[in-house]
Amino acid sequence: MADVELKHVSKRYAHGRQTTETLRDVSLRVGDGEFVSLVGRSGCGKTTLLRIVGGFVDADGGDVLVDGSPVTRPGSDRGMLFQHPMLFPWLTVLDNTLFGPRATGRHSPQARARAMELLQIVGLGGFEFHYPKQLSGGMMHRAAFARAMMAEPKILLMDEPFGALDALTRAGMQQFLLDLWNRRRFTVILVTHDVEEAVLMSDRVAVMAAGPGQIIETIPIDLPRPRSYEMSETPEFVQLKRRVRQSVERARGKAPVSVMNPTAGH
Amino acid sequence: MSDNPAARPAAPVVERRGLLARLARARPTQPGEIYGVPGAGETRMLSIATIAVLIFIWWLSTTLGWVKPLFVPAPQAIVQDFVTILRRGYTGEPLWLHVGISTARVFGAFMLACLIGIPLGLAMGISPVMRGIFDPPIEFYRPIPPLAYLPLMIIWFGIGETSKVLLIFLSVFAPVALGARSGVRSAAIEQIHAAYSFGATRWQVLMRVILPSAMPEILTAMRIGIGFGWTTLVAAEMVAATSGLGYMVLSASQFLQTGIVIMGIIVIAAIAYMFDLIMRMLERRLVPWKGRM
Repeated sequence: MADVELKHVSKRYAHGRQTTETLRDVSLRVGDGEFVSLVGRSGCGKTTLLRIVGGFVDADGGDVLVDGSPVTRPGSDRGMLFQHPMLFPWLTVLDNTLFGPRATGRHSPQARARAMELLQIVGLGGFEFHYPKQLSGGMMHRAAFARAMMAEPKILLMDEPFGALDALTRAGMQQFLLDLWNRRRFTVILVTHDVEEAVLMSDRVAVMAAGPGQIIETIPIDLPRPRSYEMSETPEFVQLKRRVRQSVERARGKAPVSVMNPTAGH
Repeated sequence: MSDNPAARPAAPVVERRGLLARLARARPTQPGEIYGVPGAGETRMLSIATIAVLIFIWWLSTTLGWVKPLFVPAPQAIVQDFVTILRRGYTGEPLWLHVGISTARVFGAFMLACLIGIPLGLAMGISPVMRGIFDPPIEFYRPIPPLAYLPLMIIWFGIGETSKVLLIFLSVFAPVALGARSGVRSAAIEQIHAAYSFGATRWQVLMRVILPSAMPEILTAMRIGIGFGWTTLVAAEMVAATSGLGYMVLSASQFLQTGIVIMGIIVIAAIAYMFDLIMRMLERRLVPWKGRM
């Protein structure tokens, strides 16, 4: 397993003469097997942060360490899941799942058997030879999940993975992810704007503010595991949810002030 | 619920409608749908009817003597010309040779254009250096009609096959290369990121993600390209050719053999259409995920 450590990470994007400070001095430690959510309004740099951990984007300053070694490029130790399943439409569900093993030359009858087993686990048994187009939205997400798990990532990076799903399917996928995480205990960084989802899933919720993006608070979620949807009505859950929401509100209140009135120093 | 038969919806009455009514109906939507995608529906019957009507008008106007056979020969005269040339050939060469040489020119130029154009287009799509180098020359010559630079081709490469094939090649090359270039953008950045995160190398991302994503656009560009190829054929065979369909049409026109001109045009159209059918079949085979499943 693996841990992730971000130390004073900063990132700027240049648009012609203007530069936008996307991340300023972001530090976060995600322990081995820990489930951490990044919550914040859009534009707070949470996706950029995830891409930096994924190795797709270079940070301008600070250190990004996975298992103590700096991240320089994408790797199969870090699986990525996106808001859209991003399956390859020209491959069947099974071939999508086998994309990683084929690319890395580790394709074998065992890999194939494992892929079949994973598809069975995500509830896609019998759909191995379907094309993505023939699946429903939730099924595509589960296929993407199986494909990500195929590489046996130690860290799963998820960018609003259920954001585009309808409420019922979303709840099903959250429960599915919780169950799988309970069994495997990989490290997870989940980007979401759904406070309830963050509280339900995470060990800790990091609340981000925008302009420039930074983590303003990290809230521990000390609810018992294993968790399920029934918990969301308990007073403890509701209280935590309120706490996260208030923090998000504070973050929201903070940002416009610094944008509209940058000289206000008191 | 009562079991009164009168309350049931009436069984569809089999109407004996006229041919026109049946054609005009042309099923605007999928069966079972009332409001479908605009433009959806079967068109084959209408197309066949249109062709039949056009031929009929053609036949009528020639039979009744509205136009002189010198301008528009009767359809049956063209069939006659076709049979004659099929038997005796044209200017000493059998018809299949004319067809063969033209097809070889167009197809050879097309293959060459694909072999060079597709990799170059892909390279232009993924590399700013390649794009910077090749964009100006391609964009410069692309809008110029092939007839305009035909004289140059002849001055440079003579009147042999080289200048003919090269002319057709140039007309196919630009659309194919540009199609491949813009096809590169079909891959979503997340798809590319996903591939990297599964351990794919840059080359594998290119071959296994970017190329298949670009495939539908490349095939469309190839279809457009081969169309241009047939369009340019006649121009290519205008100069110093002694065989080929374009040559046949042009030399027949000099002897006012209008029937042969029209026949040649129909043969070119038929072959071009066959090529298009083959390309569409390839499209269905190679990019089945694009269509409806």
